[in-house]
Amino acid sequence: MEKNRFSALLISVSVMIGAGLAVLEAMRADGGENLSAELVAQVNGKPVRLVEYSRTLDAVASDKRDALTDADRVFVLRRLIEEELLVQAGLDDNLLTDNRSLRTVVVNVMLESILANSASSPPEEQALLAYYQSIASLSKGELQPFESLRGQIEEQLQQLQQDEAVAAYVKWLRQQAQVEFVSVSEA
Amino acid sequence: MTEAAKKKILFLGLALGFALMLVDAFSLSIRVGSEPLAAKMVGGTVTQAQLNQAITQVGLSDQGEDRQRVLDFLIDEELLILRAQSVGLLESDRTIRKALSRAVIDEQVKEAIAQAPSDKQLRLFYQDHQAMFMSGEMIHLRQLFFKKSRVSAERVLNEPESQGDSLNAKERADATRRRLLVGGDEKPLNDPLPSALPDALIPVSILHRTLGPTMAAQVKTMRPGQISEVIESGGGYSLFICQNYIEAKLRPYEAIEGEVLSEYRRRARDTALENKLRALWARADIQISEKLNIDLSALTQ
Repeated sequence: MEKNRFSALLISVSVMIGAGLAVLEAMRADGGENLSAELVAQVNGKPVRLVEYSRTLDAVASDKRDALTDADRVFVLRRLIEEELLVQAGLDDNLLTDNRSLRTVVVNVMLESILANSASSPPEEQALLAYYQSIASLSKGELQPFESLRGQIEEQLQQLQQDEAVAAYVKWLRQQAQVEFVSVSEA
Repeated sequence: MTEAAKKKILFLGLALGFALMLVDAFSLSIRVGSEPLAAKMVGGTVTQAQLNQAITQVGLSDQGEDRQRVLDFLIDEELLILRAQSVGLLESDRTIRKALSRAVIDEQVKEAIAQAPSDKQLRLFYQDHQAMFMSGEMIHLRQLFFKKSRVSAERVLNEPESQGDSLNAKERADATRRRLLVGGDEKPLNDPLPSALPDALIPVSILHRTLGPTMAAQVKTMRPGQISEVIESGGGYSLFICQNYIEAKLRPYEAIEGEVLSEYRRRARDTALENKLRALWARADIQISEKLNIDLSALTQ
C-alpha cells in the first residue's frame, strides 16, 4: 500500500515537472510571437524597442537615395542587438569599476539629470542686487555699475544654484548609503 | 540520546553550516577581494589603491585635507554611479550605452594589438594580402567630345524624320575617328569637354567619378595608342585616345613596412571584435518579433 502511494506520488511529481518544462520550452520557442508590440527583439531578457529601431531606420533612410531594403532592416536590427550584447558584456565585466573615462561619462549623465530635475527659475532681482552688494563690500576698488555686471551676476548665481542642487543630492545619497571611512590601520 | 535526537542534531548542524556558508559568500561579494578599503557604503567601496591613484593623478598631497578632498570626490563619484545603476540609467541612457559598448570594444582591441607581430608574421601577412599593397593602376586618356546641338524649328519642319544635329555630332565623331586611325589629327571638329577629365595620368580606380560607371568600364582597359569606338552619352558623343598607361605593381615590403603593420593591426582589431560578438551571440537568448516580416536568416550571417 505504501509502495503504491509512493509510486503514485513519484509519477505525479514527474508529470508536473515534465509539464512545467514543456510550458517553459513552449514559451521560449514562441518568444517571437509573445513579444509585446513595443519591442522588436529581446536579448537575454532585455528589450530592443520598436521606437529605437524606427529611429535608427529613419537615420539610415535619410542617408540613402533609394528606398529602404530588407538588407537595411536586417543591418539595423543586427546593430541594435549587438549594441545590447556589448552593453550587457560591459556591465557583466564590471568595466565601470576601473575604467575612468566610462565612470566620468556616467557621472556627467547623472549630473545633467540632477540639474534637469532641479531646474529653477532665473534669480530674482533682489537676489541679484544682494549678490552685487556682497561683491561690492568685498571689493577693494570701485566696482562697475550693477547693470553692466547683471549678466555675469545672473550666470554666477545660477551656477551657485546648480552647485547647491548637486550638493544637496549627493548629501542625500551619502545619507542613504551610510558611508563609512576606513582608517589606514583598519584597512 | 535517542536516534531521533541524534538525527535532529545532525540536521540542525548541516543547516547551520549551510547558512554560515551563505553568509560568508555574501560577505565576500561586498568586499573587494583582499584590497584595503578607504571607504565603504551600501553597494560600493572605494579602495586605497583607487584613492592613491587619484591622488597621484591630480598631483595633491596624500595627507590631511588634500587626501580627504580626493576621497570625498571618489565617494561622491561612486554614489552617483551606484544611483545611476539603481535607476536603470546604465542600460537606458544612450550616451552611457554608447560609452559602454565603446569600452568593451576598446578592451578587446587592446588585447588584440598588445602583442606585437613578429617580422615573419608581418611578411606572411604581406604575402597573403598583396592586392592591398599594390601601387595604383594609372591611365592617361584624352577625350574628344562632339556635342548634340538643339535642333532648329525649321529643320524639324523640313526634315521631320531626321534626327537633326545628333546626326551631325555622330558624323563628326565618326569622321574624326577615321582620320585618327590613319594617323591624322582630329581637326577642330570636336567641342569643349563636358567633364573635367584631367589631361594627365590618373588612377583607373577614379575614372568612374568623372566619366560615370558605363563609360569608365569601356575605356579603362585601353592601352597607349588605342582609339576608342564612338561612345554616346546624354549630351553627345565621345572619343578617347589612350596616351599612357602604368600597370599596378606590388610595392616592396621594406618600403611599406609601417603600412603593413598598420593594416595588420587594423585587421587584428576587426577580428577581435568579430570574435567577441560571435561569442556573445552564441551565448545569448535572442528573440525577434515575428511582426518585423523580414528575412531573419541573414541576421546571423
